[in-house]
Amino acid sequence: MRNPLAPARSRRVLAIALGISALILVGCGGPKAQSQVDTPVHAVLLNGEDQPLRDDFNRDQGFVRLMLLVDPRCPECLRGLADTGDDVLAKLPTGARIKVYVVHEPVIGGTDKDIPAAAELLHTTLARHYWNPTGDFGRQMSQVLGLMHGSRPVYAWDIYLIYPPKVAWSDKDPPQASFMMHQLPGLDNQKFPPWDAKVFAMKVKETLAASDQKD
Amino acid sequence: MQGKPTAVGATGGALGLSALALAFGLCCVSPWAVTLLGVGGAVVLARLAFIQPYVVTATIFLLGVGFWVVYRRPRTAAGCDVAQRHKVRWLVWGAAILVIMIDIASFAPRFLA
Repeated sequence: MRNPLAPARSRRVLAIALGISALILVGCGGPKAQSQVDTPVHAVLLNGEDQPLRDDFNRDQGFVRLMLLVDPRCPECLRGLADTGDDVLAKLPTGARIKVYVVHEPVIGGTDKDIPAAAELLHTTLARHYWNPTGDFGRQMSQVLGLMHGSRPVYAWDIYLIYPPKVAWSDKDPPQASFMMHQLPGLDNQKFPPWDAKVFAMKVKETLAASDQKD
Repeated sequence: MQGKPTAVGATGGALGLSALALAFGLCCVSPWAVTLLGVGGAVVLARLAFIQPYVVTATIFLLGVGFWVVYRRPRTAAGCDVAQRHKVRWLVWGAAILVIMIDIASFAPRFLA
């Protein structure tokens, strides 16, 4: 005998499975997903030369400095920026001696037009944004940090670096960071810890506390 | 056939969830997420990407339900519509191949990086 409840049951199974998919995807694209940037974010051009970033970095000696390398269209990078805004910067005490540099690189098609919306995720106007259309800064940082997957170099993006206050950028290449996290596949996670906003926030606070003690 | 709606529902659900797994898997290697969902939506997608393996597991479970329904012995003679049963089996097999291909594709970016 045909089970009269079967069609209803199947509709429930289908509805639950599709509903989960639809809710997650459709829910993502709410009004909040649109850019709410009121003031335009100015991104300094890094076009084959690091000079503007180097000048800012050295001028800010005495501050803990965070350097974030992202593509402004990459969801993982945007998540890294949002986490940095929510879990790191928003939880710092007022007047914390910290500077943030965000280097935007066109890895998966990001452009300078995407920077304002990405910048908004940090919830701060204190961060300085740089646009490196040639992408050479990522190659340079890959060498500096020694990012390798086997014998193959890994391009430096989706990377989050902490520099203590006394570090200066004196050579051609950027200095070594005191701590680094990433969201890249293929890297040795023992050597390069994967992104964890809570751990990153803790390291930032430790670096700030250590620099306060030295002062 | 007795379990046709359940089989179709389960395999349809598996297809839907595999599409979601693909979205999680590909979200970070292509710029489409920001175009479709905006910056906030792309962030949510990236934050939820950790559930991709669980979503893939759910697709396999739903396929299992589909196969169980179409290959179990019919309890009544009315459930013995052989032609109908074959049609649903083809449907489940077709969906299963599609779902497995999509599931594999959803993991591809991790290994091709």
